[in-house]
Amino acid sequence: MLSPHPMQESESLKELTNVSPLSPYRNTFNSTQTTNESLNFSSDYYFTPSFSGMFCAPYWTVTTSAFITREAILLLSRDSTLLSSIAHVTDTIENFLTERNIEAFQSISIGTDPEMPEWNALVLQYDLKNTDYSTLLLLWDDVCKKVYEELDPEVARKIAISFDQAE
Amino acid sequence: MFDPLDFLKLCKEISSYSTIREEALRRTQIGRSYYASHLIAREKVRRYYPYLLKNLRKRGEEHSVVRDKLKACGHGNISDKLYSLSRYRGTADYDLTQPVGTSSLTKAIRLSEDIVSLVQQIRSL
Repeated sequence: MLSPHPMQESESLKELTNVSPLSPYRNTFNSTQTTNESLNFSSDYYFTPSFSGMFCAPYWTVTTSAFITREAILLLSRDSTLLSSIAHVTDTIENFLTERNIEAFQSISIGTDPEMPEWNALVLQYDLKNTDYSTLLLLWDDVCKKVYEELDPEVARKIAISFDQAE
Repeated sequence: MFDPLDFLKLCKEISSYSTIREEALRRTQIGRSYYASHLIAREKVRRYYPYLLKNLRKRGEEHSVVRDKLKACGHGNISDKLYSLSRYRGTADYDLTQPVGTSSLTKAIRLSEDIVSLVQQIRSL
């Protein structure tokens, strides 16, 4: 039901995975340390996009159908608390949309604030197909309530859910 | 005291304004529609947490402080909608390479109206 964002995936996805932007993809990264430098990106062709990271202590594997920017993966690689929650969050949103037969393009990126350069958040972007804007705004309220009521406040502060209409 | 809602009302009023600088007008409208909702939200937060917005390191910090407080108080939807609107505003005010069309303006105004309505429904924080 959900698919990588067609508008955003082309350049970044090529850079990240060296695969055709139209192909289903799988991103993986492995690291024995949490430093940037040790991250090693590789790619494969799979129907279920996923990425995984191995850290000093825990080992996490997250599977999602979202397009994920390199910066977002790096942020997740440095924040095991956020990484451990993000799969549940994206699952919750995907299920919410699927239950309502809504198709969406999904992407995960880093959002910044021009007024506050040191502030950032993991932006979970969903571009909904065939949904009028009034309905979209109500769905957005509902999904936020569903996600945040069961999410650790410290993790909730680090993410932003964004709904828009698919072009 | 100035009412931030006037920014939003003005945004809608000037939509029919005739100018050859249409994109500049749209960018201005998006910026004001963001500030209408941000300031309404900020004043709601200030009412319940008057000290939160004092002694900020930077003036611009209030944007994230307001969003974070709303989210911490169970209004994650308003927080995230404010953030999305701030991204429209960021593009409108800072990004000269990305065209700002009527679709962005329409969504920004609708989003701003929605945020204002949600904030006005808050009875306590």
